[in-house]
Amino acid sequence: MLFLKPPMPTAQRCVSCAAAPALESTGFAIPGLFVFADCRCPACGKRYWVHLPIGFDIFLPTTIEPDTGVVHSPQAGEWLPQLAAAAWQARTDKPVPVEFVEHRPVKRPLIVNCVENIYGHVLMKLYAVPRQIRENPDRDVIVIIQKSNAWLVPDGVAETWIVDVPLRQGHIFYMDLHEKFSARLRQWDEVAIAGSVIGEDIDITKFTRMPLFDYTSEAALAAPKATFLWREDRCWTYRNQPVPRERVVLEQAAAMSRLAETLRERVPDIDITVTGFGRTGVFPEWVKDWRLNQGERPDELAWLRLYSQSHVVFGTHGSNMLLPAAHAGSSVELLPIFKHGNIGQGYNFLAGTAWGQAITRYRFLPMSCSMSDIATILNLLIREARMTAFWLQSNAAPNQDAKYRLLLRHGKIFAHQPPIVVAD
Amino acid sequence: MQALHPRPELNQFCPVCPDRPQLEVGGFQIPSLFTLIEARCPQCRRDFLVLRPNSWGLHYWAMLEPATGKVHSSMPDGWLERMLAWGWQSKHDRPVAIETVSHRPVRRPLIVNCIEHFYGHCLGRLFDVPKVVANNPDRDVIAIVQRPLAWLVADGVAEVWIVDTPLDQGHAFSSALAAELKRRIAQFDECGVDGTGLASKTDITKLTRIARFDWLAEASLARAAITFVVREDRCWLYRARRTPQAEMARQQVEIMNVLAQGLLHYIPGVDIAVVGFGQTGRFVAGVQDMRVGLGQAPDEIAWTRRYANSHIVLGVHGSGMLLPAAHAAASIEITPLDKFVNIANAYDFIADEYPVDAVRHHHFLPMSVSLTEVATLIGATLHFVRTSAYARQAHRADPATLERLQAQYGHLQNFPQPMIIES
Repeated sequence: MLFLKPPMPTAQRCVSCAAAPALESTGFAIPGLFVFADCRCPACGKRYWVHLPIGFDIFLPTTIEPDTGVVHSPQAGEWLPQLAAAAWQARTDKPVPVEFVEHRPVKRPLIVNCVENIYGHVLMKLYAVPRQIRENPDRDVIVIIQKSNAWLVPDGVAETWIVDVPLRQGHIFYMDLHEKFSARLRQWDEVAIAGSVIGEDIDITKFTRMPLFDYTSEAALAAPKATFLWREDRCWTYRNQPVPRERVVLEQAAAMSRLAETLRERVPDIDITVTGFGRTGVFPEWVKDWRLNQGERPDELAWLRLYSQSHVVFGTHGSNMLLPAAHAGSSVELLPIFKHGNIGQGYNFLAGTAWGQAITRYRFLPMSCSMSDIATILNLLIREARMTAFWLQSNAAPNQDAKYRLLLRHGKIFAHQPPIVVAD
Repeated sequence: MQALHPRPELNQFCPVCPDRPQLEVGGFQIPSLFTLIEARCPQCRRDFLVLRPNSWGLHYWAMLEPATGKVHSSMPDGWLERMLAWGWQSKHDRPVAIETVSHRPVRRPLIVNCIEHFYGHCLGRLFDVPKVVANNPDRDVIAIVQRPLAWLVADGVAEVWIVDTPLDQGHAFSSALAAELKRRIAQFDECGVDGTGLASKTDITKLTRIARFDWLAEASLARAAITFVVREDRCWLYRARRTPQAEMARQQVEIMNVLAQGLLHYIPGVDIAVVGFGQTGRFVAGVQDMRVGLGQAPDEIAWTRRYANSHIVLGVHGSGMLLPAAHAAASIEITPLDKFVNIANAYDFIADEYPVDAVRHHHFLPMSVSLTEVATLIGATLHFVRTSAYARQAHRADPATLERLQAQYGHLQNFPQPMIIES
């Protein structure tokens, strides 16, 4: 656990003075995503903001001079120091609305700052909240979070500070935000802040309050349901073929439509819905199009309910796949070439999942794979989800007759499924 | 465990009579991979050979009418039913040699029948042996196994009965085998049968006696080691292209060579070896060729050690990948379209892996993917493995060691970049 108040000493030294004296920590700064110790050189008086080892940056020490924007880091080329530089460049004094939601009185605050500029990072920081609550029963957890993600804050926190900052701009230095946080924290002498938030094992339903795919429900055995996730900023370029930029989104719609039709040919009663942001292109009439315009606010609960009723969800890799994959029976993510290193990131909801389920239900496929492969795998995942549902329900059946009736009613789901082969 | 001798356990009804009377139990037969209970319907007087309700038949029932060869089952036209029918149709009376390896006297035998038609299924049954031994301390476990897999019978069994049935004949009903096994078992006052083939949490080292990839060894941070596993009966057809049969093995070597050259270029000092059956083609300089000819007996121990020293093993999906994947840190299986239904079968050996690590370390790629993506995934997987090994070692290190590790291997934290391979 780290502390904002009283100020924590820092090992950082002044880079300007020849003697490099240790910096004196005098306060803190939380202008958004970043959490700094506000430090000063006792010799030359120069100010530094030393980033606290929080979140993904525990391996990337970063210090910035708030007066000049100069960033110091042994790994200056890495993403965090560069983000700090960009954040300073984009710094602003404009007012930022903050809603302080009080759930219970706060005596010993422990901050978990979930402000971020990447949705997946928000989730990963949020994942830390239940553990902070559990491991610090003598403290009152305060979550700082952007408005669009506030609904995911789990129960048990003492306060939620909801900031009206767009997701993509979460990294920017908002001086007004820092002022508001400082003013709010003035009432306490001691303020702790959570450090590392990596590698939490979580129960996703604690955040979404939405049950997972229910293998014991009749629906799990009934009509197969698939959901395609749509985004226009990272498209499925079929087989990684080069596509002119202006055509890429339309091509994605065409590929998804073809996939839907291919699946339907094999599974005539399949029910497919598309969710996501951006409304370019059209799908076959029978596909439910739930997409929204960019920037429109979704009905998160309706989308989540859809995921949790889906035998499989499918889309291009990205943090938008996390909640769908967490709630559906299975998932397929198509990986762009530069995202192979991100496989499984944010998949902390797998904790407690059996190994076999982990590697069979959650598939990461390179984008160069063929339509036949994708359709075959989706079809098999649907079948496996239904077979799992069958066995769970069969094992729970009260007697042999009930098992037999179940078999008679749903035995067709065991029918051999040869590969789906389509011309590329 | 179920009783087999003198009176087998069975709770099954007649599949023909409408009011489904309970079958009357007779003796048993083990003519092949099937362990069968002889039974008769008290009403219609039909005889049946009922598949022991265990092993692959755990969730199904299936039985054969020896008078007609007809198979009845709860899963009509399922693979198990077809296999049973095929086994019956392939019945023969050729002699089958059985070698007995005795480790200690047998008083209360408990049979684990590991005969199978597929190598992967054999492994699945062998996975059971340590568990059966542990769960039945008052019993003397006898493993029945085909010769090529006898080395994988775990310690603790009382006897191993090694049968000279070729792997691809494991399904065929052998009257000689059935008679000899019945004779042997009849010598005991009682005998049980166990083993589900559906074991979970298998410790593979109990079978191979070779330690798995050592995440705590500094070697795991140093030189990257990758092993290609080849087979010539199911080849890597690049991008799933149609390839003449005669060309497949040669083209597979070609594509592996292109991949190897790419890896040698992008991963300085990478140690690449090839194991497997079939010696078509030659590999490029820098690749160690450990293959043996088709039908030749390999040095299983040397191969398994190689897997255990590998960060990644890569090959076409099949049971030939199981021991490699079980011992290496990570695996990539190039999977034909018709095999996706089988992925991760018998991967019980990763049961102790953290689920997120499991999805990062074990990949099943469609055959249609490009070499660039295979290579890039190798790079990413290598990154996952080495950063994980680094974290484990750093966690245990004293300050001086930590500083040295950071200086020497800190670069392993760098995010992996795509490896572009022209193909």
